[in-house]
Amino acid sequence: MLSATCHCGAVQIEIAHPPDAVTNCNCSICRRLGALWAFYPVEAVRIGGDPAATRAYQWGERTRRFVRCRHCGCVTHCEPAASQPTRKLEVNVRMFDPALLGPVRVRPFDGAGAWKYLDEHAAEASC
Amino acid sequence: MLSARCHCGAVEVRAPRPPETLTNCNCSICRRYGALWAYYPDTDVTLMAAPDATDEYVWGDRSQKFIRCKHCGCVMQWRKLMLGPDTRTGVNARNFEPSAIDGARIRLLDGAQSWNYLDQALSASSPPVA
Repeated sequence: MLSATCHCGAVQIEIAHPPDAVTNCNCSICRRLGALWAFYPVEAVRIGGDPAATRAYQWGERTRRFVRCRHCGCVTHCEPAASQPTRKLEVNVRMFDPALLGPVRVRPFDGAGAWKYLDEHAAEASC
Repeated sequence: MLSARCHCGAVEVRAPRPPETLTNCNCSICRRYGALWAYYPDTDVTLMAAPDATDEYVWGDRSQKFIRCKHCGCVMQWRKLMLGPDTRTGVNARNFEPSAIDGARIRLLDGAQSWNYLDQALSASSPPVA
């Protein structure tokens, strides 16, 4: 079990295992948040803290909620809106002590344009 | 003049020019914010926002505040609480248009420990150039 918190400690996150890879997305919101996302089933992540200690940002089609600590502003995770069937949740691994995570592959995702991983594209191009 | 805008557009930070270098700091708050800081004299930077459109986070020795959009949460700028004539500010370059920071060099700052730029440490350990 790996634990992390936002900067002030009001929001806690626990994941069962470190991610194999994290996603660095260049879309309009992800690039601004500077987040590195690790994907987990909702059930595999424990979010602790008073729900009133968080705020969420939704935009566009309002399918995702970007959740941050109300006090320190750290974006801890991104979760599906209640209306969504998907059960995946993204944890922002920036909250974790880098030494705790160990080496993690960072995958650039072109959310601003092609909506695909740029390292996949590179692999295809090299074939 | 260059503008950094939060995602929802409620907060804008105006800086005088594109940054030549950006600082990627690994201290406890900067690594969580995932920020890339562009430094300017505080007097050269203007925050454009309605008075109630921002939230601020102050901690530790309470020497500076981190300003973010209250609605979308984008971290926009840090400012010193005590302003002097030479005070500088940090603008989060993640909110600039990406093309504005294309050529900027990213410098790693060891804010978690030594408070040195790690590229400085590297160049200091290599032989001097004749």
